[in-house]
Amino acid sequence: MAAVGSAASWLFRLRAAGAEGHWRRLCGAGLARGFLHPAATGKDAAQRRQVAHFTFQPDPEPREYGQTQKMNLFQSITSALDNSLAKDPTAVIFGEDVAFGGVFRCTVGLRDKYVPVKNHSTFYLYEFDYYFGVHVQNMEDSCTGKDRVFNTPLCEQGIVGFGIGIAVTGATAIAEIQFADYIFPAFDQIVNEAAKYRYRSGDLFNCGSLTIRSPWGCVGHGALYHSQSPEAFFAHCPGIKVVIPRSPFQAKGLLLSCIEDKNPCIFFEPKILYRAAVEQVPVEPYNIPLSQAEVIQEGRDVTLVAWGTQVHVIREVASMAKEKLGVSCEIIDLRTIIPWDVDTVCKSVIKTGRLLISHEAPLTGGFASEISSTIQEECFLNLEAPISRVCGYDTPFPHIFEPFYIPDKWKCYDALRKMINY
Amino acid sequence: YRIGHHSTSDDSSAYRSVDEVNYWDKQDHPISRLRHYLLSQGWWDEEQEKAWRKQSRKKVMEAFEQAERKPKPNPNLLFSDVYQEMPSQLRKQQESLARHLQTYGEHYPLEHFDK
Repeated sequence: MAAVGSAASWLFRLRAAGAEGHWRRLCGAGLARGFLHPAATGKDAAQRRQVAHFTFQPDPEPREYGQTQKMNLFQSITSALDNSLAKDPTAVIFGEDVAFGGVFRCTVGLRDKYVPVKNHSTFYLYEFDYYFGVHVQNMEDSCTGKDRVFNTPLCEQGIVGFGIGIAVTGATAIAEIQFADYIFPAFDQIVNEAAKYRYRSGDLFNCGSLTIRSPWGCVGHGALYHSQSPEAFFAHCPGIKVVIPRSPFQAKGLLLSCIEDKNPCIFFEPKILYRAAVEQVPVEPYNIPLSQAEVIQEGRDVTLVAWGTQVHVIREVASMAKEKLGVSCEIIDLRTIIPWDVDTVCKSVIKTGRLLISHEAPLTGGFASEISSTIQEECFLNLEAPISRVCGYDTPFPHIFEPFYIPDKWKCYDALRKMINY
Repeated sequence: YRIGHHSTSDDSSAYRSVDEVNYWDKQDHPISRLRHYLLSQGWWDEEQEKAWRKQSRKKVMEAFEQAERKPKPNPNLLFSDVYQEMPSQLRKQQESLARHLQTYGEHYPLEHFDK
């Protein structure tokens, strides 16, 4: 009673740090410690703290896009959305909890900044107040249809269906699915409606101005339903584009390209990078082309391909390979999953003769299998060893077993070593 | 009514008023109402309240400590219960993890998991 009350008050007074708290271990900042005398020994504390499996590597400050500002990933997303709302009067952003700023703070400030345009006529509201008689109030025309950033019901099928509808009218629809794990109720809308809209109408109609954004990938404690990487499901669907950035600079440019692209796009945002990835990002809008992979490090002996968070893992693997094995790795960030840049990967494998692809998503049917299949078709005679895939296991994404599940640098390094010695 | 935040990453004052929460917490808390009722009926008193609170706290704390001392399940269980029967491909993955840990085990938090 009172105990519960005081605990509850304590809980409420806990000024959770918003999105930045998301990947603090639950026990580290949760109810248990405040409520009870903490039983933590050094061992317990270590149990709770989980060291990240990667180190974010910022790219050098870009020079060609004007003034830059230090931004983390969620801030670079906000910047891209801000630019979009500014230059495209038809652009709207919607999803669960986006109005107050979003559970990862990607839409902070946007609702207030892009206030609805006031109508010329003002409404007069006659209010009958019990004690003070009649009041007359002006009521601004700020409702239905005029808000730029608004919440939707908890209904992913509706979010995407509604987004398709907006896009078909020609307006720019930027939908958010709160976690990629929740995108499946919208799968039918994406695959059967959005992806096929242009094709089935012989280009009479399209929903190209639809972009769906969604937090993606492992985060240390996300477990089954806050860690998924579902890009492979969508790779199998012609008509949509799927894009995954590795960093704030990449994210802003790629997101702006997705929003401006004339095809429905899904933009997955690696949630573990929202705060962990910080670098200089131009404040003005700029575009990074879709369907273009980036060779972020040149090398001679083996090609490493990844996307999103995993790019930073393989970067470290490349250093390890250089140091321990004297092996020179070429690192490719795929960036767009479909349509993917076959030429860049082929060109690299023709040079190196060895290919290792890595992703968090399960091995079977994961996107590495598509890359592997195409590359062996195109570059068979150039291959010195079988193509290696280092991926998640064929299980749901586990909770406490996450450190054993993910394709970390040791698994990638081991696979690389075996490939070199093949 | 949910007094607490949605999760440790949530600050619910961003979408609901502190007054609203305080109302439910202080004025209209169902458990508090029950307690007042029990008191008014003479079925409960402050002494019992204090003792019960102390006892409950102790019980929970002990349970916590006991649980924290237990190691986590063996990582082999990562592969269990995907299906009723384990596919051969999955068993191969399980074996590859076991081999991997033999060589690289020092890089994993194995000390917290059951052997």
